[in-house]
Amino acid sequence: MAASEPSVPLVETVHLRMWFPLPRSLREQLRHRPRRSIHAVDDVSLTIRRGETLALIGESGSGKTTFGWVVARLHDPTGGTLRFDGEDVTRLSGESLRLWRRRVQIVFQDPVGSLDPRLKVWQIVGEPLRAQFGERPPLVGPAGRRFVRRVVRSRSVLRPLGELWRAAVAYMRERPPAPPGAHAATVREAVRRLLPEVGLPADCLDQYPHEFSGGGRQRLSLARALIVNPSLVVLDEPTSALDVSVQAQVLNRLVELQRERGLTYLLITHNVAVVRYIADRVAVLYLGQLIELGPAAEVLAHPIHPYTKALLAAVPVPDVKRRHTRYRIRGDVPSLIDPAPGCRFAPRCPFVEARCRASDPPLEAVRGSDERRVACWRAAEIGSVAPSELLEMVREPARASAP
Amino acid sequence: MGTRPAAESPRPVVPPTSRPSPWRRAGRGARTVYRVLRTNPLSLAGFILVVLLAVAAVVIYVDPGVLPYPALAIFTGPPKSAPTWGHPFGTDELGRDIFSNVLAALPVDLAIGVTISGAALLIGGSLGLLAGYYNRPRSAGAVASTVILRLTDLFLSFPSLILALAFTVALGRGVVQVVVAVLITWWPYYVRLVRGEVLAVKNQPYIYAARAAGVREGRIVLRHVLRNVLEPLVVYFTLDIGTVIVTFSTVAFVTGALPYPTAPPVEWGSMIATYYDVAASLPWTVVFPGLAILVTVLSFSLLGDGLRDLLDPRSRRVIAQTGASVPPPTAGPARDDRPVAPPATGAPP
Repeated sequence: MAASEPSVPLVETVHLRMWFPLPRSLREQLRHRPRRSIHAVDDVSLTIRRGETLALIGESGSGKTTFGWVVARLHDPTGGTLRFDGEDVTRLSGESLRLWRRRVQIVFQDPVGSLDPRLKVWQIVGEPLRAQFGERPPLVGPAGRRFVRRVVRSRSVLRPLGELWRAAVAYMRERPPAPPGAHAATVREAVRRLLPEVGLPADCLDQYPHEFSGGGRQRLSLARALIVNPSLVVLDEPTSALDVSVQAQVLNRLVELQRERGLTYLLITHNVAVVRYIADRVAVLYLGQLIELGPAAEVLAHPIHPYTKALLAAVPVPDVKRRHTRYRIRGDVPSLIDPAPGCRFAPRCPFVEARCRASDPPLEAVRGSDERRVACWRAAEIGSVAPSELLEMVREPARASAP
Repeated sequence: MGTRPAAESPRPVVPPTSRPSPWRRAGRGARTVYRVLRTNPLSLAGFILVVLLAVAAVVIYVDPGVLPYPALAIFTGPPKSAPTWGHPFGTDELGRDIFSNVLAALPVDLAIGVTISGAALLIGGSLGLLAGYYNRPRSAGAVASTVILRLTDLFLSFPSLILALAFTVALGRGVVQVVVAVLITWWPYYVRLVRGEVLAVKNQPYIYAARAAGVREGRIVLRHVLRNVLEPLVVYFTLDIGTVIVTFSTVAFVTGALPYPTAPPVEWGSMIATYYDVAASLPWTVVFPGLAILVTVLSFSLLGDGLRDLLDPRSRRVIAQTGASVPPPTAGPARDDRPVAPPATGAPP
C-alpha cells in the first residue's frame, strides 16, 4: 500500500463532482424532459498534503460544505475520483467504508445540532471509538455461519421455534468475544483522557451537551472527531457559531492539536481572518468550481481571480475613511441548477469579456509562482489589480450611515 | 503519543471508573422522578393515581376475593338500592353490587387499554419508523414506505369509531373481537406520529455525525432515531391509554358486543350499556362506571403531561436542581441546521 509515503498526497480529488438531482414534475416526466440537477460541486480537482491546513473559502452556496462532506464520504460523489492515501475510495461501501471512516473525521458546523441531546458526554465523544473498535463482527466466523445454517435448515420460523432458540443460544455462546472498545469503562477512560486535550474538564463525562456553552460543545465535537485518531479532520465552519474570543481559543487549540498529532485539516470557512490565521493553503470555490488555489499568504496578499479580489474587498477593515465604501460586485449568486457554460463568475465580473461567457476557463498555473493555480481567462492582465480598487466611494443615504 | 486514548489497540479493561453503584443510581433516579413530579402537583396526582389503579388491578386480578361481593352475583342486598354504607355504589334491579362490579372491571379495562395502545404502538411505531427512515428515493425502502403510508391513509380516511363499530359487528361478540376491531383502527395514528417525528430527527446533524463516526445504520436507528422519538411517543402512548378505554367502552356500549350480566368479563362500557334503560330510575348504576372511566382516563392524562417533563434531559436537570417549574422546552432541538452565517468579522489575536 502506498500509505505513509510522503510523496503521495493524503487526499486527491480528480474532477470530483456532486450533483443533486431535482425531482421532475409529472408534466416534465411525461414530456421526457431531462432530469435537472443542482451542481453543488463541479469538476473540482485538488490535493491535500499531509500535515497541512487547506482552507476552502467562498460565499454561502459555493459548495464548500458539500465538498467537505464528499471528502468525508457523507455524500456519494456523482462523478470523478476521490483518492485517500493513494487509494481510490470513491466507490467504497458497506463495511469497508464504515471502517475507513476512522481515518477521516468531521467537525460539524452546528455545535448544537450535531450532538445528540439525549446522550451523555462520554457516549457522544466515545461513539466513534465504540463504532470503530467496539463492534462485534456481525454474524461472521464459524459460530455465525453455524447459526445461519441452522436457521436456514429449519426452513420455517414458527414450527421449529425451539431449534431457532437453541441456535441463537449456541451462537451467543460461541461468537467472538466483544472487543475491548465495547466496554463502557474503556470508552469512559479514553474520553476522560482526551477531554483535557481539547480544553474541557475530565470530570464532565456524565453531563449532557445542553449543559455546555457554544465553545464547549464545539470542543466536544472536536473531541469526538479526534478520539479515533484520524489522519484528516474536516472542519466545517468550526468557529462560525462562536463568539470572537471563543473563536480564537478554539483556533489556537486546533493549531496545537495539529502540531501534536500531525493532523491534516480541511478547513471550510467563509471567514478570511480565520484563513489568514491558520491555513497553509487556500482554495477558493465559486458556484461549485475551484477558481483559485495557492499558499494562503500569497492568495490573500495578491488575489488574482476577480472573485477572490471581491471576497477580500468585502472583508470589513477598521478604517474610518472606508466607512462609506462598498465593493463593485453586484447581484446575487446565480442558480446552481444546470449552470450555463462559460465562466461561472461572468455575470457578476467587472472585467468580463466575450470569451468569458463562451467557454470555461481552465485552472492554470500562474506565471511566477509554481504553487498557484487560477481559473480566469484574463488572469495575466488583471492579476495585479488590487482588491481595494474594486471599491468605489459611494455616498450612502443618511439612514444607512447610522451605526 | 504516550497519553493518547488508545485508538489502534484500546487497553483491555481499565480499573472501575467513578460510576456509582446501580442501587445508588436507582435511588438518585427515583429522587429525580419525585422532584420533577413534585413541581407539578397535577402530574404527581396522576402518577399516584395510576400507581394506585395498577396496584388495585393486580390485587383484584390475583385474588377476586378482596371484592365485597363476587362479580355478577345477584341478590347481594336489597334490589334497586341507592348507595348505602353496605353498597357504596348502590345495587341494580337484581341486587347486584355495583361497587364490586366496577372494581372487578378495573383489571379488565386497564389490560384492554394497555394491550390495544401497546400493540398499536408496536405495530404502528415500527411501520412508522420504517416509513420515515428508509425512504431514499428509488429504493426498496421507498416502495415499502409508500405502501405503508397509503395503507395508513386508507384506514385514516374512515372515521375511526365507525370503522371500529363496523369491525365489531363483522367479527362478532367477545372481548378479543372488540380488541381486534379497535386495534385495527388504532395503529395508523402511530404510523403518522412516528413517521413525522422520524422525519424531523433523521436529518438532524447528529445523525450525520453518527454516520461519519462509522456507526451502523441499524444502530443509528435504535440509538439516535428511536431514542429521540421515544419521548413524544411515550407521552402519546400514556395519553392514549385513556382514549382507548373510552373508545373500547363506547364500542362495547353501542354494539352490545359484551353482554354484561351474562358474559363473564365485566367492563365499564358494557355496564353502562346494560343499565342504560334504567338510568333514569337507578342513576347510580351508570354514574359510577362512568366515573370510573373518567378517573382512569384523567389519571393517565395527568401522568402523560408529567412524563413529558420527566423524559427531557434538559428540563429534568433544571427542575431537579432548582426545584422550580420551568416553561416547557420547545419541542425538540432547533430544526434549522444552517444558521445564517454572520459576516466575516473575528480578528484573531
